Amino acid sequence: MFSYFHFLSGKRKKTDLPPHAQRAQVAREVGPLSFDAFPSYFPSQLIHSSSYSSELYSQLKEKLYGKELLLEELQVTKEEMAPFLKAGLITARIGIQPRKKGYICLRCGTDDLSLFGSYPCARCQQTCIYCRNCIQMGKISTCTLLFRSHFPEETSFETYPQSENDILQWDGQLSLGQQKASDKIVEAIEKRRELLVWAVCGAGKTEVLFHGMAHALKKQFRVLLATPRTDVVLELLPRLRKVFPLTVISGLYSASTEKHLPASIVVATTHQVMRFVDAFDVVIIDEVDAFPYSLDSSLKYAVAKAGKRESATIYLTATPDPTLTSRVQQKTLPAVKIPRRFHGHPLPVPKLSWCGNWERKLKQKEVPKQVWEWCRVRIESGTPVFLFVPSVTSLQQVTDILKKLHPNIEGVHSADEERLTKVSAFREGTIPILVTTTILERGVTVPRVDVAVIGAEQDIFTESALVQIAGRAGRSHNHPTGDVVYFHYGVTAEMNKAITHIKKMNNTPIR
Amino acid sequence: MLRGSLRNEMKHCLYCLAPLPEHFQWKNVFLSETTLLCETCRNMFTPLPKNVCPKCSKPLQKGEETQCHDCIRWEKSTHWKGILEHNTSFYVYNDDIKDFVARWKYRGDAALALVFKEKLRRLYLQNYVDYYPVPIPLSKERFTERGFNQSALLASFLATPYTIFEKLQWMRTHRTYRKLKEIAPQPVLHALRRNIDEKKQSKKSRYERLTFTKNPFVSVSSHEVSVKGKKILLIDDIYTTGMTLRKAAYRLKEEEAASVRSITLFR
Repeated sequence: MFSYFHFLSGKRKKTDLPPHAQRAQVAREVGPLSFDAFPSYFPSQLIHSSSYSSELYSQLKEKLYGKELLLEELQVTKEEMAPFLKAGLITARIGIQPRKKGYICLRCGTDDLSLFGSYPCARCQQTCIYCRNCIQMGKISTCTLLFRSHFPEETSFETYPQSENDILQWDGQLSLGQQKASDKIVEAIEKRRELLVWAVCGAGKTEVLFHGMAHALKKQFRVLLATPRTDVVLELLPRLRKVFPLTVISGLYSASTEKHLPASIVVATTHQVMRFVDAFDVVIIDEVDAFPYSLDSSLKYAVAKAGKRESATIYLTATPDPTLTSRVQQKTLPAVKIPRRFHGHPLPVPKLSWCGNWERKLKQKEVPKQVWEWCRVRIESGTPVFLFVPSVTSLQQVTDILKKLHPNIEGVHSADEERLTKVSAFREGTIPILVTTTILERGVTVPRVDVAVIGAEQDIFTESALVQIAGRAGRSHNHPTGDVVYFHYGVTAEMNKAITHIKKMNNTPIR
Repeated sequence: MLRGSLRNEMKHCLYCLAPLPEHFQWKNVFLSETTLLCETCRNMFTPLPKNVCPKCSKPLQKGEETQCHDCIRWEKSTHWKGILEHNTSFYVYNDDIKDFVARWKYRGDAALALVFKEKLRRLYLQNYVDYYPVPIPLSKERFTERGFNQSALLASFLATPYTIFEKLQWMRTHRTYRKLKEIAPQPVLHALRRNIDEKKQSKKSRYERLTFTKNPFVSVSSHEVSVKGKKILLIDDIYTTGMTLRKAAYRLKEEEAASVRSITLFR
């Protein structure tokens, strides 16, 4: 009752943190427990000696650096682990903690009851609750422990050069908008604050980060660059290694081999970030809005947990989601805009074109007239075309029909094994039209390209997806324009929002 | 208790965790039938083709008309003749299922067993009401490592009391009237123990499986789980060569079980 009145009076008891950050706070507060707290987990007959091998010492220290892991991930037995716990070098806590209502998984931050399962456990002879959201990384249940290191910190594992020029070996030029954002980033890192960098597609976001990262490295900060996709990690790694030649940079994605390397810059997919706790001073999140839909909140949680309590968080995006924009409007999140591409030309504004009931047309083995005509003109003039479709089934249909226009037309979707070869063939120009689902909406740069969407009224094409798709066109310096058309069967609010978004960005002056 | 969600409703697909579409269907109210999987995950399970071996549910190859070669070979052997009477399987074991089983058994996602609950119970009611379910056991080491025995989970589904709807369905298919109370499940018998800790079955070749002659199973000799004169239904997840099931059945036959049949999920 009391809290209800409290709510009415407009005073909110809790801080203004978003839910995922609140959960991260909770996860940090669950104190690590010492050895004696788990008598059932480590029965006394297990502990034969209290000494540990020095080989294992360094091995564990390396593996656990900044991370919280399961026994299976560490590949040690309980017997080997016990002396470390006894000596207080490693602490443990139970992976699933009860909360006021339900439970929370400390690794992925899930507190949705429908994502927990239970089973009669043979280890603890009770019904165990386990987290089904992050089970692919190893099972966390009410009887599994997460281990965390408290090894004495040595001064540093590498010697840092003192001047920023030594750390950063890059002589590129920043555009006016980029320079402004870069300065803001340095400031945010300095003050350990949050910052939203709202940059249009093709603004050159990575370059903007260089000075900020160099500044952080000079101060001996650890930097995390989290991105939703493996492709992006693979693309960023060589670029960063080139400009930061003296720094240890590790890339983490599900198939990477360098998982246990302690590094001062970590580039990771957001899934890999889940394993880190309180490890980074600077957290940079690339494309915050691109997290896979179902895992959305747990990935945000993971990123929030990976940063230290006082850390700088920098969000990079072209299409901030409503929670971010509302925070910017409420002035709780400082933001900087880069409204122009690095080449200074405006973004191509999408056109709308009504194409009737395209789904029925596809069933009749035809594409709408307008689409056919549009594609034919592009093929004759030799302009490469990205054609976005809403689903895999329509992808197949459209590709089959368009093959009549040109035999080399191909389609790609997320489960396509030849995805990479097809995309590179498209870049080289052997494929005139690439039909694709939304997987290619981000990060793919092909010069001179024209873009179209079929069925833009479908739910999958949200404002951010449409803006990203439009952002594929006109990215290169020599061809700053391109044609973007949304073929639709009824205009949706999302389509209008996307167009206003782009126009607004084009009208924003660079101050 | 085995649960795939701590809420009463399923909000997510049990396998891929994508949100399930919320359709209201009267069927769900009356038959308490719950959709656990999304459509794509449901399609992952390919039912076995129509022409399968009547004895072991193996899809028949060209040249095999009534029985598969494997069954004929088993029956020729004096040692294994008539040990396992019959095997029913549900789905084809393919690459998708391999991933599914890996997550279920090796990652330890025990709740995935719930996918097969309804199908198992229906089959049990239809054909095996007077059979005692016996799960294929795990060795003690593997059992504590994994935390659960997938076969035992499956077997436990059969032993929970049947709802009136399930019983009515049984009467409809059998076209006989029987007192509802009489249709009671038999209790699960943990009649076997696995002594030798061997390599995981999936890491062995066919040759290794067939030549490793030592029988890892031992029958539990206690009064409560005596199988003497009882009809036994062995429960396991995968039937590859049939060796494991036959070895288990052999021990049960030694204890004078009346007949041994088996249900396996994948073939």
